[in-house]
Amino acid sequence: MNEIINTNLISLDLEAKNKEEIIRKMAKLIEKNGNLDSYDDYLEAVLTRENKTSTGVGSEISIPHGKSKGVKKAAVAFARLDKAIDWESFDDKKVKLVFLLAVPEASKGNEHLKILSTLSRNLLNDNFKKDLLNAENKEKVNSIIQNIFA
Amino acid sequence: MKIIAVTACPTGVAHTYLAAESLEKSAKKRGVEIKVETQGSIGIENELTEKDIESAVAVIIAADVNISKADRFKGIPKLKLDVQKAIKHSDQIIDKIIDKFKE
Repeated sequence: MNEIINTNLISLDLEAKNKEEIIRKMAKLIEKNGNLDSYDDYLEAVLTRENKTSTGVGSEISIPHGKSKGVKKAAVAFARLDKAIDWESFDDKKVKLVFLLAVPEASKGNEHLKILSTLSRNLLNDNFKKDLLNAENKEKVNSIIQNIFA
Repeated sequence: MKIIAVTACPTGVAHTYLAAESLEKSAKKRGVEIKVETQGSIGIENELTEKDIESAVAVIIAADVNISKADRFKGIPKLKLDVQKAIKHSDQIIDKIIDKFKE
């Protein structure tokens, strides 16, 4: 099992009005899991990045991320949204699957970055997406994501 | 035909790799050889060699930041675009290069 994600970092019933609220709620999951030194610093990094260009990557997926001193240990939070949310994606599709990445500031050469790049590469895999949309519970979602790191 | 590419983005954790994956997929679908160097926060991976560069018809530079070692590509046709566009339009980009350089 890879420590970068676990069932505490997964939400299948997140309710939010907009993308900022989603990011805030998911960042809370990362904070509760003990990966952050500063929630505020981390959140600011994510929102600053998001405001540069949308992290909606099309196909109903977004991948907000922040690299910050406020992050103690790298993590990935995942949310599947009941109500799709506008993320200004280039294909104009609303987002249903959100991956929020937390990356420590000083992590060059860190093994965790490898994991995040592996995750990014898999986002465009249709089967991966379909499996995540269909997974019946958090445990299943966790094992689908763990599988790509295996 | 061989195409080479370099991808890079400001944070270097997500779009660099998404763009690489998109370009590789599009090239594969068309049966064209491609090698994509990623310049992310891990550093340079799958680095393009002199031989790669010599044998390529063109280099795609999909980056929102200045790439490292850009001087390697002196003298070969370049297609520069931002990294988001490479994810979005990878099919068209590869088509465009195939069209231009087919024998």
